[in-house]
Amino acid sequence: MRIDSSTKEKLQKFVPILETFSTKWKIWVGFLVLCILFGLYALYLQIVEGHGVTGMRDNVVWGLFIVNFIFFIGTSYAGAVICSILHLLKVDWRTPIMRIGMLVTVSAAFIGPIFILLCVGRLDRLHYLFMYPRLQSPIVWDVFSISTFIIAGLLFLYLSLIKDFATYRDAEFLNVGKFRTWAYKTLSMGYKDKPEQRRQLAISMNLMSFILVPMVIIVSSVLSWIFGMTLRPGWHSSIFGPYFVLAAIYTGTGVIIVSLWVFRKLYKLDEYITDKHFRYLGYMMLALASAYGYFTFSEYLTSWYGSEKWEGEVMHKLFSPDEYGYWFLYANTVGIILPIIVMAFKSTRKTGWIAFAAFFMVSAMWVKRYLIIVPTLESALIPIQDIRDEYVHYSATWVEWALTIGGMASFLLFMTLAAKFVTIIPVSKMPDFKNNPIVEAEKNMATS
Amino acid sequence: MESSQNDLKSRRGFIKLSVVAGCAGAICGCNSFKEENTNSDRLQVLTQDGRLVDVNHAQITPMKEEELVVGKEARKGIPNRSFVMVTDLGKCKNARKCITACQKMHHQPEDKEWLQVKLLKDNDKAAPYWFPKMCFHCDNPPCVKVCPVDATFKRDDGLVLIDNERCIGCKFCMAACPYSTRVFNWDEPEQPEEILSCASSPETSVPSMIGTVDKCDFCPDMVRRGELPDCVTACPNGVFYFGDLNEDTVTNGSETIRFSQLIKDRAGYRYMEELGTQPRMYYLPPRDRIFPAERGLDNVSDEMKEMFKPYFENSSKRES
Amino acid sequence: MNKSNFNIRRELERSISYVIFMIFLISPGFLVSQEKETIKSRMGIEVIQLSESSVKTNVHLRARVNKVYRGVSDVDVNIIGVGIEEDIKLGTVKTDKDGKANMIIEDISRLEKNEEGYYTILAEFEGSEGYKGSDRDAEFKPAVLTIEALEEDSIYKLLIKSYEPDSMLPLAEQIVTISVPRLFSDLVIAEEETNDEGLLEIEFPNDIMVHEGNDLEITASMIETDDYGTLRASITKPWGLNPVKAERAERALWTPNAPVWMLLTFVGLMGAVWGHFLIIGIKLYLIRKDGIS
Repeated sequence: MRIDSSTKEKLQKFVPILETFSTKWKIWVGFLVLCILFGLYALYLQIVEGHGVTGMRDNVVWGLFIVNFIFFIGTSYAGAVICSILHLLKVDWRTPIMRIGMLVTVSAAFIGPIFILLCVGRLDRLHYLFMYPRLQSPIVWDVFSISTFIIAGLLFLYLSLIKDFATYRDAEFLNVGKFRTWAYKTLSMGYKDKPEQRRQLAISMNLMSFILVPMVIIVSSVLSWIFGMTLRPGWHSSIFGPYFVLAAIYTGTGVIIVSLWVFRKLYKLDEYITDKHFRYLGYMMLALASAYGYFTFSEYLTSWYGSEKWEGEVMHKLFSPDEYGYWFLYANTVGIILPIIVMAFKSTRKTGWIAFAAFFMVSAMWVKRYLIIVPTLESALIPIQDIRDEYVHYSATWVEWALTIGGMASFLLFMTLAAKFVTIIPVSKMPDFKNNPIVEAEKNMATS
Repeated sequence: MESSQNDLKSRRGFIKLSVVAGCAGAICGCNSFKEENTNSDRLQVLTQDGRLVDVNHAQITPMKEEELVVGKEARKGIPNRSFVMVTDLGKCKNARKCITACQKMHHQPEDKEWLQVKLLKDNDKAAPYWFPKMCFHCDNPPCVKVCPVDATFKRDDGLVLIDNERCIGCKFCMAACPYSTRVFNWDEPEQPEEILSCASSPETSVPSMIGTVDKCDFCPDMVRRGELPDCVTACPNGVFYFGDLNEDTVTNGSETIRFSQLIKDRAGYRYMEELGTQPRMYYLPPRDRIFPAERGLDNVSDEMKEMFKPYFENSSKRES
Repeated sequence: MNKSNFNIRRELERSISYVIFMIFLISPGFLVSQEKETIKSRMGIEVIQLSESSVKTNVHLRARVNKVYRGVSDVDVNIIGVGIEEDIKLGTVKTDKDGKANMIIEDISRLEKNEEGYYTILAEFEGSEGYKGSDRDAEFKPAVLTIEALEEDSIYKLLIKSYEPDSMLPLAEQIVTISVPRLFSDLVIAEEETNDEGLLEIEFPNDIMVHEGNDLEITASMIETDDYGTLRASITKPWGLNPVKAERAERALWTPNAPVWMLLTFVGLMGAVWGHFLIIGIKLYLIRKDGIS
């Protein structure tokens, strides 16, 4: 395959990144591996001694694990939906975002389900989910939808990588080890950018991005229905499906912004990941923040105004400073208002600020998930009346934190290793799309 | 089927063995027959051959006359029966005998209560009352709906049971149950070895298994033998009435009455009817009480007493 | 040499301590087994007259252990008809796990009545390894209770008659209990007194439920009367209502099988997505084929 000059230029920039392993990099990977080992030790304890080592008890039966599960799965959906929408609209500035977006999608899609497995008391019976599935159970919906989604994410990532793999394979100036040479050759599947191949690839990409959007909406709603289908206050709400979809895309946008910023800093990619990308993603974050803020307001106003007995109890827990009041405040100010303010003023509408806002927004969204799960479980319909505090109030133990850290480290390790295996922005040229209204509008904006 | 019968045999063998072990205990024990020295966890029992032996509490296994019902049979239910429970709130004084009887029967430790007695006060002006609560065996059970592996199921006789061999421990049923009925085995269950080695049956809910969910089962194994569940017989005040809706009859052991008559005369209701779960537990409102609610405080710890204090505080105040 | 000596000494010490330990263990146990002989048993007996000729005897053997009465299980109890001159041994029954046993005596007339016209039945436990023996007797005058069912204009009625067969005297002003058997215990439907002629006519409710079929076993009994013991008579009539049983839902949210729409939606959605995967798989195959050629 002939490599054109712009591809060559881009790839040359990545040659040192792909070819060398610095000491810093090794220390970083070592650190992540240590974190993961720490998590694995906690997992070992949990399996051997039972779930009693966690802070979960009979009333609060789910805790950090399920919070992380929603967080990662949500993040994952966002990458997919952003990439597929940008691809479908043929937005021409999408290229640098696509790779990172899809890597976030795939890695989070692998980490997320691990956390729901941590909630399972009998991992030795996991195959029962396939032997005796009950289609009425939202967990079964999740099992099928998430596993299907993982495959879809992998496929989309792979499709977007084929041309790059072929480029790596054919670039004589790229000297990587035996394994990667072999891997590039195999994974490129003999792609030579023949017209027919190009056509098939383009159709496949379009098909994938076409189904990914509805898929993410369904899969994300299914996730929310684990909670929405129960008769618990704060969960049993018809808004939950769209609420989770929005929350997922919103959080994921933040994670992608932060990832872009980190990779731009690390690999000095200012040339390719430009301020414009941050600004556009920032606008997206702004729109999503407003929408998410609207949903949040609508949800809590309805509950608070109606103040039905148990709903009222959960609202009280969320609003009262003795319980979750400050966290609720943090989740809503930092999670919704901060990104809006940052994007509202020209002086803060800068890459650094946007990344800063995105980072804290992501943390606030994590807190928000915690506030969705724990206060509801602490509000039993029949009063708990227990003198054992751990049965009344949930507080996570070190085992749960260790596994959370392990999960985060796994995510980072996946991204780190992926950035060694493929270029973090696509090097091969996307086909030109002429007369695309968005491209035109964008050009007009740039010139004015 | 073959293997389950073998399990049964080995279980019976174990009962014998445990009695023999109990005998040895009687010989070794210095003065266990003197009544003043009877401590609570040792007990004298009469064996099948009419001998008196002294055994550890934990060694007494419920004698199973009928075969243990396992597998598909346990999922069907007792034919043409439809079990129902009526709780008379006017009679409960939190004696907690039902709880201990249930724990003994199912070999549960003191801190695991399949049956709980709550103190409820419906609003500020209302009078507090004791509220025994166990599994409601709903006809539209939220827990069964969400089970991913058919481990908890609803039978034709109305009972909602758990197959501990099937349960994967996802705890979704616990989150879904609006009555917080279900109990998880967070750690290795503290049960005697001979109980843990018994064949598991949804009808006995024994043995408990780590990482799975347990709950009240309305004791169908006892019902098959024509015996009332232990909580019913243990109650000193006859709070619980248990029976078959198809016979329109419930009994608390001493009094057998028509269910429809009882519900009609005493304004029986189901707790949180608005949830649409259609429970099989009916309550009789706490009127014509035979004890003041304060009496129930006698049986709770000081910490609990402190917690319940506001329930008994009158909302009106006298200026001093 | 030294070493083996040491070993022997240690072995010796060990066996001596073992023997002492065993003596310590056994001796009090020996005393206990002596004491065990003295546990008293207590017999209970109840006589139920089922008809003119047959009588059911229920016995209940208990013993007081730790201040609580418990049934003495698996021992023999002799049932004896007591006569003026000679006793007739009617049989032997074995107690169950609750210490209960029963025996139905047909042709009661072979027993002797005393001068006042009473029969006497004795239940006797001879004692066993752990218990002292005990016995108790029950005296009763023969009497007959009959139950008849009448159906008039779909109103159910029961006619109860009672009399002494010897003298044909009625059993006046005796309480009759009408009951039907239930899963755990009998459900009392009515309790009323007989009139001077020993008769009782009573309406039977038409809304009594039976868990299967319509047959209702209706029992009339006079319980623990002074002279006659317990009298009992039963009749089976198809007067029971069979409950309207809700049809078992085959496909509901809580059944093992999912509702059809759910299945279709699931299959449809999964089919659509996996169909796309399949198409893309084929396209990838085509790309590869194109690359190789």
